[in-house]
Amino acid sequence: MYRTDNGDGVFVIDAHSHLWDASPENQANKYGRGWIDCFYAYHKNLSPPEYVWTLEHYEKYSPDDMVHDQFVKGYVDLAVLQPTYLTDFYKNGFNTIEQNSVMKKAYPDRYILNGAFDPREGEAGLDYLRRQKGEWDIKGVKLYTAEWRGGSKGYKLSDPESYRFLAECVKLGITNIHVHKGPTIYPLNRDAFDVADVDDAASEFTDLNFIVEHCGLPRLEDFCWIATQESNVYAGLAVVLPFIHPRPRYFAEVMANLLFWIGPDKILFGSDYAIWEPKWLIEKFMAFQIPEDLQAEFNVKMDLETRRKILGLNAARLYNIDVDAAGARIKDDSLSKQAVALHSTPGRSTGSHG
Amino acid sequence: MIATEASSSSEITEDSIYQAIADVLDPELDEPLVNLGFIDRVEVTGSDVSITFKLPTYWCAPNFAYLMAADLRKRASSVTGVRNVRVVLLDHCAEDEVTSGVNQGQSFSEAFPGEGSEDEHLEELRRVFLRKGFLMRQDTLLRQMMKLGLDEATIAALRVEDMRVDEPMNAAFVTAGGREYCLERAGRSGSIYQQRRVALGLPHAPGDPLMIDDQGKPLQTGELPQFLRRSRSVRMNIVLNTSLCKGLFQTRYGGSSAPDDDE
Repeated sequence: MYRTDNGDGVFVIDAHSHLWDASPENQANKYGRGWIDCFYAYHKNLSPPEYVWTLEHYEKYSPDDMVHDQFVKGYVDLAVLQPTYLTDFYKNGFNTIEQNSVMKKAYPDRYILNGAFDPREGEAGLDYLRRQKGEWDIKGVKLYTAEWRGGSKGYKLSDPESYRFLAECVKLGITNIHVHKGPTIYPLNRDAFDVADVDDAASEFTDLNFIVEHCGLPRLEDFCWIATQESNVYAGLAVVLPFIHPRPRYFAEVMANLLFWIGPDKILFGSDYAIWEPKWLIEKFMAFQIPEDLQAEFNVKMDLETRRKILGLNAARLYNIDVDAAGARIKDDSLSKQAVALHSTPGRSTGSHG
Repeated sequence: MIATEASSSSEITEDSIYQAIADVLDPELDEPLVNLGFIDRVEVTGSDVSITFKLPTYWCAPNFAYLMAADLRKRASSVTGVRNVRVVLLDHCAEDEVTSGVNQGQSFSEAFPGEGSEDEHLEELRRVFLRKGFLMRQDTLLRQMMKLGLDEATIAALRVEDMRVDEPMNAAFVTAGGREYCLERAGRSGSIYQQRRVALGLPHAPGDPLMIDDQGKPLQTGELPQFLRRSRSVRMNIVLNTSLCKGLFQTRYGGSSAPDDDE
């Protein structure tokens, strides 16, 4: 829970986080090394200096580190765990549902566990999807359409095989489809950043919600266009929000565009932990204002209600979370107690002015 | 870029190669590789040239890396007296495929087999980004004009010949109603606007409207807000990408990168 200087509470859902293992022992080849080095560059490039980790810590952090950074230090109330398999690069995978489930088991009231599918796996993939539903009752999946698998250099959400899997999601009640459309994720040789396939799938499967992670960056303007046309397309702010630190003016332009094209009800906060820590992202977001010239041009504003929606209420709606009940469940848990202790000591930084 | 005149191979210099590759673009960022700092080094040995380049991340799209490598090779080969050009991509997940494919003169689909119609798709993608580069510069020009008080009807009535660019001053000058307006720091945008327009085959002769959309349709009075929203979102996306790529490049290799355009 974030509290403003006026005492208003803001319920926070971090809709994008990971527990990964990129340690040298788990790296299967040079790609495993290249992957985490690239992530680290994102982390280092966009984080304020005091939030830059050592590479060693970044490669492998503990579940204790994670809950501390999210729930104790970082104002987060609930978090969604999004898997990233990369089994070709890491011996035990980079961040599978099995790895993430450690967090869900230890802190069931704090985490929402998402699964994944790959339509190129056919029947076996469908079975795996059903198993994830059966074992963990997943409400969402995270997809990488640009992933290399054997001879294949990626797939489109509009492929017939993808439709089979999406139809299965409808049947199983897995309603939140987080699609990675973001920068430098995998080698690719066709335009896997192209967001047009989300447009097709979203028109076809109107019962599913499509959360376009990283707002389609580097195709943000195309994303805004399709999200305007499809009522079930959402924007995930991971990767975009950190620009609030080094490039506040660019970030303001992006927010003005998103609010204009998509509106405040369809934008979701996500830290992409451990790429970035939620604490500084949330503090800066709460203090952020859209400059007057952009407010005038786009006729949008950033008030407390909008901040609440983006930081938690929109994700709560997608995941059927009653925030009062969820808040009551975690109010007195050990993490909340630690958070209260931390934020009430001198030099605390709970206010919007840091 | 016009091939540098050299009467014998002994006159080929690093500078002449840099000049020849000066307008090879990163297609997505619509910015020359030389300006972005992505050219690691150019080496000339007699009539043999070697160009080494590197990118912001290990995972930058191989298709774009391939386009850049092929363009570098083509431009450097056009310099009079150059016999062999070798282009090397460093620190990249597909460095071997790109380097060996390009230097054997293969197309992308030959270097990365199994991807069917990829070559045409790549050329199509290149056009998509030329179009975005065009809209981005249009945004800069339109906003400067509005700042100077030109109204929509006046802007819509401008012809190609009403704008001239002073590159050394980095300014564009627009003549409207017998008056000349100076668009400061828009010279580069102005000349790229004209170049992209030609490259896209859009109307660009004297008498043609100055402001057209990316399909060639002239700006009509009443449409300026739509023009601006589209051009702004395109520009916003490119500057954000460019900022990210420059930052990642700097984080990876150190040193200072070129400052961002605009704001």
